[in-house]
Amino acid sequence: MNKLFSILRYALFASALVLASCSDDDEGGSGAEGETKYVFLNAAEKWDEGYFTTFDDFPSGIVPPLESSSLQVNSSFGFRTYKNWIFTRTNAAGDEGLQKFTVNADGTLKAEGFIIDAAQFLVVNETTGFYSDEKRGAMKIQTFDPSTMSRTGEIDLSELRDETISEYQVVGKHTLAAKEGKLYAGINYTPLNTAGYGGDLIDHVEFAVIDIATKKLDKVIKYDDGVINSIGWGSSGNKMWSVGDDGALYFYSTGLTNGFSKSKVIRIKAGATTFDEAWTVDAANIGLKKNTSIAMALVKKGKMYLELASEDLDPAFANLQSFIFDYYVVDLASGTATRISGMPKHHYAYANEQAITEIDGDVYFWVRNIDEGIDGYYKLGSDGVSATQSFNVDHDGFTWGFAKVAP
Amino acid sequence: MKRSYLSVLFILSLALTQFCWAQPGSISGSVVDDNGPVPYVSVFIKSANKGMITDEKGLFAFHDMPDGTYELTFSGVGYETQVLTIQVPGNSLKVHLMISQQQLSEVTVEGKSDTRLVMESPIKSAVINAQVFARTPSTMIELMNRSAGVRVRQTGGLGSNAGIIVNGFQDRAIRYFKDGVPMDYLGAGYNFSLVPVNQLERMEVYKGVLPVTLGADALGGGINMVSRKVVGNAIEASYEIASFNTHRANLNVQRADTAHHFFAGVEGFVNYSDNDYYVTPELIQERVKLFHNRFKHYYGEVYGGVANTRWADELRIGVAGYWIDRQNQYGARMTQPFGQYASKQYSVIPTLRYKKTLFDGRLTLDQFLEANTITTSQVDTAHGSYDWYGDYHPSSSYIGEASLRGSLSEIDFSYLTSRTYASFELTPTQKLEINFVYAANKRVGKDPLGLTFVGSGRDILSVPAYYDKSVSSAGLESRFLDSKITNNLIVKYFGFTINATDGDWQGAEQERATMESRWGVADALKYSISTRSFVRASAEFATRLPEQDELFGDGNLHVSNFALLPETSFNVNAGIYTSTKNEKLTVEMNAFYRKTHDLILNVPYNFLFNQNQNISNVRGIGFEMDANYTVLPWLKANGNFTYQDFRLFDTGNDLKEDSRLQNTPYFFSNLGLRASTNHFLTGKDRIEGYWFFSFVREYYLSSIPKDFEPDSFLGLWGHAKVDAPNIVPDQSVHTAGFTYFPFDLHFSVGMQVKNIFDARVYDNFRIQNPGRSFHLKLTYNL
Repeated sequence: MNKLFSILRYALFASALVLASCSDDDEGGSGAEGETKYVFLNAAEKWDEGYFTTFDDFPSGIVPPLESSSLQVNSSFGFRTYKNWIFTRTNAAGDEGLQKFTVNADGTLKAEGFIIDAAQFLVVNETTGFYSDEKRGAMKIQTFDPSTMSRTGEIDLSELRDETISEYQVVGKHTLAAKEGKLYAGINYTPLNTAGYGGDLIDHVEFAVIDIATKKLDKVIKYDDGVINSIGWGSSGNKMWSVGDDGALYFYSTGLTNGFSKSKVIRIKAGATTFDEAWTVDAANIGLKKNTSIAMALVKKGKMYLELASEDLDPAFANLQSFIFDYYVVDLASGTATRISGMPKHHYAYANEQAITEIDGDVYFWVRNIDEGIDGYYKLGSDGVSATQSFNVDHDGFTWGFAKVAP
Repeated sequence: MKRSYLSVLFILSLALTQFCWAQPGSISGSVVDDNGPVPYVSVFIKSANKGMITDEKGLFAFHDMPDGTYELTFSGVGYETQVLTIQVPGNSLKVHLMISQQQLSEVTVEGKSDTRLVMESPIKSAVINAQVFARTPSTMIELMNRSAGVRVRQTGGLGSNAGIIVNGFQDRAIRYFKDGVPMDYLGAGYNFSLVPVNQLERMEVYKGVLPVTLGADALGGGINMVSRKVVGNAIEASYEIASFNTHRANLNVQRADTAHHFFAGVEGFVNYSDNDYYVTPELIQERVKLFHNRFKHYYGEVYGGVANTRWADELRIGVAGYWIDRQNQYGARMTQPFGQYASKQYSVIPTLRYKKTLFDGRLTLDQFLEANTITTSQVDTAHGSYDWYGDYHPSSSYIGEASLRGSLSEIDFSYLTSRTYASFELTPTQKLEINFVYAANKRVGKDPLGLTFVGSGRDILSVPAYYDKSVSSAGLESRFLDSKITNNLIVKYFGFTINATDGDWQGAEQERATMESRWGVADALKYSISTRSFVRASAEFATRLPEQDELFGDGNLHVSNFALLPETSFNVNAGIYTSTKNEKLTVEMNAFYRKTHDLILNVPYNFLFNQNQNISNVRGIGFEMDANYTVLPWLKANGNFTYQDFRLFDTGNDLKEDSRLQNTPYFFSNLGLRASTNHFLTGKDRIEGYWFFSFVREYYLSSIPKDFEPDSFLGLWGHAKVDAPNIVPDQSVHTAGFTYFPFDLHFSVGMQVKNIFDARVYDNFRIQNPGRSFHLKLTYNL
């Protein structure tokens, strides 16, 4: 017994001291930039911790949910890319702000700059970017240099403040978009209670147009169809606007704040700086004409690809995660919408910026339907109305985006 | 600051000394050791419920004692407890105490004191003897962290939030008690992170089954803070000054008149710290000094009552009060610093306690009653933000720092708490216990900057919310085979009702009411192998009821969930304790198992909201070992380690399945060396020195799939096989100090250096705790 005690005693001392002396290994990849990679982001649970995983080649077949080169992030709800940079709205620890990652040659990710409190953002080019930071001012847009991830100044739009409309007014919270040298920043008027998320107090859509070169306000533009009064959703990783191959800037009104009865796509045509009042894609008139939510679309060769619900969405959001969504292709000339076959129904795209995305000239759709064991991407066939699966992620979690990053 | 505290203590000490006097008596004597008279030894007569402390010459005397036989218990720090049976009338006694082999042990081994009885109970607990460390500048948190199976996590310096992890259970799964009473009614004013070590007799950390005396819906254990028993007349004062402009003072004064059966006293303590230590926030990776982290806390209680009358063994009436003034430097994470955000909390708490033993001691009654209101207030109106360098940046849109709309809230939490306990000895080997705890809570307040219900426009806080909870327990303690086997069987019944106003998805008012009840059962068995060894095992089906805020949310984005189920857990503990002759070596090993269903977590819900849901199921095993060894008569060593392997199951998610419980340490260990000697510099002095080492193994803030955990044995070294930056790294902390008694045990000087090597110490969600700090504590007893 005494011998046993002696052994235990010395083992106790030794184990604790050895453990205490363990040192961290150096970590990090080569930091090489310039290689083409494919990257996807997933989450164990919706918006929970997840992993960025990269591939040298376009993935196919069954894809593991993570590999040894993956980066764990504490909060996973979408990402955006600019060339070979990846941007997220939180850092790996989950702190709110604008985080930039680059992809190392070995496929690992490297954090390269973080701007605290940055929220909605836009990267225009390597050295020009914009973001909102309400702590610095709800009526201000901050400017930054994406290459260094440093703040460079701000654009003060306080002249647009109208206290007669609302207690709370914000610019750039839900939408920051750019086209042809102009920055388009959404303006919202709501009660302080909602702080921009619902309860919009105007009956139209309003944007500030800013000249990117001079950082000066050009004008305020309005879209007033008597139906929609908000564009985008500021807390999402999905920016909810896109530029089509026709050069037009398309904005998505999700219907999140009006019971999904008023979801539309509106646009500013190439060469224009005001809304195309004569043009709209109204969810109430296409597909199964249900109350739905258009959160993203892709415009290519006269076609618009979008997702529509097959049954009315619940105003309290209860069925957003039900498998009731299909992808459609809309012929912009005729307005005809056709359901794209070959894919099971999926749930709402939420924050997936790349739910409908174009890579190397092909159109891909994200589909998650865990009842059928599917969470992956489908490629649009040459017929334009059917799709086949490209890869499936082998997990029970959520895929929150897939993109190609290249210099 | 220092001068003002010292002045107050000095004046109070002088004034209250006037109330102390010596009593004549018919049981008297002196207490000595090998070196002569021993002052400050507790002398207690259990049958008469009388006690006192020996004077400077080691003398004691009890008067007005009827003729008969009495059992006297002599106990003192550093000495073996001695029990003598004497006759009255009789001669004066001379009691020779032996120096204890375990005098500096955290887990007390002093005869069959209450502390020892709890430790040897069939129900497993870690018993931390606070009095052993009363003279050192240690905190209860540090003492708890040195115990096997227990980790305390604190979100910063003195006054910051502290939570305990016991066998993998944490947060609301652990319930807290003060002298057996659930201490929700004390708010933030009295808890283990604030109470000076001097104020407590001991801390009982129950790892699983709670005894009948502790009535609460604990899922995985409980903490019972046992106040120091002061017998007779006593004064004790201490003052500590430390780094970061930290001051802690403590005062206990009691007068007891055994002839007239009354007692009265006052106790109080003060905590103050600027908490301006250096940190390296992750977002700036620069070493900066905290600048808005001050904490002020005052606690006091005046009490009095009668004892040993025909109708009451003890009737104690007390009025306690506390006041807290806190600067909030950061929120739940060390991300965004605040420069003006502050909060206050105060309450005045009248209490009543009645104890009576009837039928020759076979029936024991214990009733506690209190009613109080805790008032909390928040001020968050900076109209701007601060950076980590302390610079202010005005904002035209943000009112507050913690939130856009800021806060000027004032909330009253009203409590009514009743605890009724009774035990009855059915036979010499069987005891029946019952315990009933009822707690009623009302919340109402206002916030001119806060949220309002859509439609009515009413301030959400202005609508009262009611939450009533009751816990009934009954237990049977049975002893068999000449008390070699002891068994405790416990049945519990939990119930709550709630009435409040909730907001629907659009924020309009909705009246809500709900109630829930559950049963629980536990059993604990102990077998004494010999006088030096025993084995014990316990099992429990435990339940934790959802709290008010978990059911109702906040009426805004945190939505209600009335389908929320109570958390349930099946917990098993088994262990062995053994010691060598003279207790030169003691070893305790314990293993535990838990299977927990329906853990309540706050998760994203639909598109906008978050909601408490029954999400996780956790199961696993753990093992802990604690050993004490007397290397030399003056040198002792102790060590312990804990390994716990708790993992999620039935997640329906392969990325989560079988992964470790996140944000929870899974291996930690402690080592300690302690030395003491008398006649260090003079013929009357004494010095005690110590060194402690604490190690916590790296653990994950987010789940890691099991296949990507470190390959090493039990994951004890190496790193995850994926880039997982969300970890709390390996942490090693050294602490050393000494306590010097220059004249006798009345006065001591304690010095201590914590975190000697200034290691970066992280805690919950990587909040950085203070680095190296220096502490000086002066203690005086009379």
